[in-house]
Amino acid sequence: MQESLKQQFLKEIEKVVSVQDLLNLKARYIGKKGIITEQLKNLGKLSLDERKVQGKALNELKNFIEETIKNKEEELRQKEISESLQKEFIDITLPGKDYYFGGSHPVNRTLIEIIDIFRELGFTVEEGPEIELDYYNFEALNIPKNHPARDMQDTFYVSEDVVLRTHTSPVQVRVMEKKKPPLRFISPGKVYRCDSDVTHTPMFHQVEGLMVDEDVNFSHLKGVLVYFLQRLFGKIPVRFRPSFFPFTEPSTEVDIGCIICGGKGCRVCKGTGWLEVLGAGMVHPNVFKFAGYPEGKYTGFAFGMGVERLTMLKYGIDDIRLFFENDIRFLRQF
Amino acid sequence: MRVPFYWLKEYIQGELELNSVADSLTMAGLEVGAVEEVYGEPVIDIELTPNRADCLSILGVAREIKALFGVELKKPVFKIENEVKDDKFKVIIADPELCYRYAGRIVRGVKIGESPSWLKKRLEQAGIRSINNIVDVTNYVLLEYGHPLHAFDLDLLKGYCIRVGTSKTISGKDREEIETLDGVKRTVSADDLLIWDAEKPVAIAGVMGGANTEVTEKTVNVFLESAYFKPESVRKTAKRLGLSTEASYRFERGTDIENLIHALDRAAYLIQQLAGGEIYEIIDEYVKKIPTAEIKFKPERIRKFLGVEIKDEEILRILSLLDIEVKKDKDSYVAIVPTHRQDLSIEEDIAEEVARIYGYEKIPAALPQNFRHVEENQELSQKRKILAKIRDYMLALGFNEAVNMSFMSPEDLDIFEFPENDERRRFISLKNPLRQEESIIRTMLTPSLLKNVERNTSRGIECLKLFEISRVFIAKNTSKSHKLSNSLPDEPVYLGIITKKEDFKSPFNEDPYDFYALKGIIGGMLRHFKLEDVKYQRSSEPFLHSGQSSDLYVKDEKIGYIGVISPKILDKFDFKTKPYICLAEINLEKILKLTPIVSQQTQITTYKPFSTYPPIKRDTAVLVSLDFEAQKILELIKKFGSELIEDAYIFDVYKGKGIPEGKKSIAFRVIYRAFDRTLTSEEVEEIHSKLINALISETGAELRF
Repeated sequence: MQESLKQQFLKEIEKVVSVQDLLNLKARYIGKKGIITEQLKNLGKLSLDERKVQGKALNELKNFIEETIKNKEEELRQKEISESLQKEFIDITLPGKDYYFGGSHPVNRTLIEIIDIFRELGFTVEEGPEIELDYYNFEALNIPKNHPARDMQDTFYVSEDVVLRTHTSPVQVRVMEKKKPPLRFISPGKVYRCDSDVTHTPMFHQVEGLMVDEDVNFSHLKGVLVYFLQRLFGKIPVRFRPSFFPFTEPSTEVDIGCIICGGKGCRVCKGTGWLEVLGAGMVHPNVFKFAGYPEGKYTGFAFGMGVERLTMLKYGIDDIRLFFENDIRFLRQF
Repeated sequence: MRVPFYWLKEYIQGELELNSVADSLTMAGLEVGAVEEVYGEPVIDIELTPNRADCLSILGVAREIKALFGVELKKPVFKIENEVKDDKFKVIIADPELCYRYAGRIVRGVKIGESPSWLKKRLEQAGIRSINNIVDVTNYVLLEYGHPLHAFDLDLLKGYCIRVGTSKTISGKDREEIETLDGVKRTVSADDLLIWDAEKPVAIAGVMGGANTEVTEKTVNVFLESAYFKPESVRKTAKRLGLSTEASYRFERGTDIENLIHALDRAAYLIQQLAGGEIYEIIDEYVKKIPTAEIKFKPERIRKFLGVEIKDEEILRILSLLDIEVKKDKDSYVAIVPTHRQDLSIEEDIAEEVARIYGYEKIPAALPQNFRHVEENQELSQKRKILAKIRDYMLALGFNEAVNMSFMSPEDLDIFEFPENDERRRFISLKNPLRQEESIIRTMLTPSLLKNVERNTSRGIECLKLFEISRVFIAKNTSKSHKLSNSLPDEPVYLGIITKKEDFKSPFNEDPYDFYALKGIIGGMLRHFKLEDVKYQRSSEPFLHSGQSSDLYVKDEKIGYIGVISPKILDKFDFKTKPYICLAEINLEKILKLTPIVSQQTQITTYKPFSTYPPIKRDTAVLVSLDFEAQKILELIKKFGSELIEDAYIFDVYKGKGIPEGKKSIAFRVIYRAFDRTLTSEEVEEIHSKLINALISETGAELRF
């Protein structure tokens, strides 16, 4: 009798295709009111011997069914998963959703690079107003009114006493008014000159620096600037030429070996093999006098550079106006 | 300064090689911009710095070559013979503070004509046009000696005299009219120094001669002027007149007061050689001496200052090459500065001269070894860090970084339809703008960004995202106090964002260009900086779409706006297409002020414990009118104030099928969670229905089932 029941169960489970059918089948055989369960309940009506034999056989059958259902269930679940995996196919060749880094402006990129290099050398960062008093932009920097050196910088005037700063040097004056040496900082920012052509825009970015202490000398100026330029451009030759700035004495113009032609001479370096990239010098004693520092106690050097120019050299950009058009095909390259 | 090489060589003993001269000049601070061929001869173009007035002549450059190469100088040799005596011509210096010395010579009986070709060639190689033999000689000597001269027609000078003074001193008038040699009638002010005869002004001192006494083909007798005018005075006058000449350029940089006699003699001599005539005795009014500068210096200090071991003898040798005499003075030296080097006045100048001739390249490059600690500007570096973070955030969100000029057009303010009292009309304007469209300093970033978008669009870019972080400039409110010419504007840093889409297509249901994208970006930023009490209110900006824009408030202070540009404004731009443009502009200075990261130096973030018990979620949908703003629901939930509410958010807004006309459905989820126990659903049900009832009674919303 158990044998035919077993055959019947096997036949039925063969036809089961879903977990739900399987659960129904399980209930029908071994559920609370299942065939096997009922028969087990009825065992009490039988004689002791019979009960023993039947009981053992029924329990064996019950275990067999449980085991088989468990296996079947596992099999069905696997099948369901693999079916759903197949169904839930997506086209992985479609593009990803539109996430990307925007282009950083090349001038700001260079600016950050410059600041990082000077931070390595222990320089801090200072800022100041872009619309500035004539006093800070010129007078306190040893450039009185009616000094020919004012011709070097075409100035935008707001009033008799207020200008758009022509360099970030006024920041140096403002810092020196408040702090005593040692000073070691750079002042990055926008500056303005009324000039506009292929190599000049009325606004551009500068980084100027100042180092003042009791024994700073011209050799340190050279050391710091060579370190900086070789970190920015690699191991290129650097040369220092005498020059003139009203707020430094001695003054120097700094050239690097042309990175376009390697010093052989090309259009960019006008055939000289050298590119002018920096102006610098030892701080003029009058500037310290304006700052109220005791005479003769401190020495220091100052330097300044145009960030657009350095960026143009670094990335081979040939027209400064590209920086301010903000064409995204330009910006995306950086 | 253009220097024909063969002319330069005439003043040097020995051979010179062009390339080595050019290189040496450059490395000594006389930068050679170019070497050009003019009339078959190389001409060196030197870009002189303003301090080197002494090199504004061929002889000056030769003097520099002498110091660089250690060669001998050959000055021009000439002799004036048979000078005629005359004591009738008078020179009167009325303003000795402006004219220290005035010398002259009369040459009678000259024959005006063309200059010989060698002279014309030299002038033209140096960039000066030939006029006639007399004028050409004055220009030739200007190039040769660096001292400007002027020739008057003697017979046109009334009263046989020259007076030097301002109109304030001479005529007492507050202005004078004079027609200059270039044919322009000019008005000069009471303070401008003029040259006068007995009746009238005949030249603007140091700038240009007058037409009334010009040397012409009819001229027979000339008066040659060689004078020293105060540099500042010439500069002021030249600037006021907007007139820069070869003469004013030299006078304002400082000429050599001792040298002017040599230049005068040389010119008189050459005039006689080329045009004949009799040279009269020199007239020389020398009313004010420039004291000889003496500079004390110590070789030890120079070595320390330059950071190079350079011997005393070497220093002294270099100074003597530069014609600087040196006296020993106890433990130091005194340098006696020659009159042609008015730029030297302090010990550092001596150090520079030594370094320049010694060679900058021979000074070692050394990193400073003893760094003393320098305190960082904490406030600024905190600010810079936050700005850098916002920049990185925008870049990571795919926005391209724009940098624009700080200028804008006054017209932009009208295009944007700002009312008269709007802060953005408090602009700073330039006295000398390059163009009218760049005549004021921008008070907002949006106009530049819109122009960037316009340009990109005209170049066929369909969709783009840009941002800019920059200062804007707002003039101080001067209505209350009187206007100060030296008051500086505020320069707050702003973040400007712009997105443009056109024909945007994507395989996904997501729009990175709409209002909500921008709102999400700004919201995310404000959350990061832990700004609380953030509110969005319908915007009052006149240039934004009134239905699709929002002003942004933090703690009841307006810090910016987000919105779609008004179609009215869009029409005023040159878009050939129909773009959808979304804008935002945020005053980052206010964020910096309000963010606890900056305002509280310590205890920026304190850890808050969180519940480990399970949450219970309740979703509810309500029907509201179409203009209902979802923010109200979230505000009410907050106001309800149950400490069991952990979070709440809107997850669906729907109108259309199944929803009555004029209504929309807003679905939101509230998450309940307790700190100390697992909540029962009965407990949550009770709070949630109270919440919903409060919501319904305050807003008139209907529950949607």
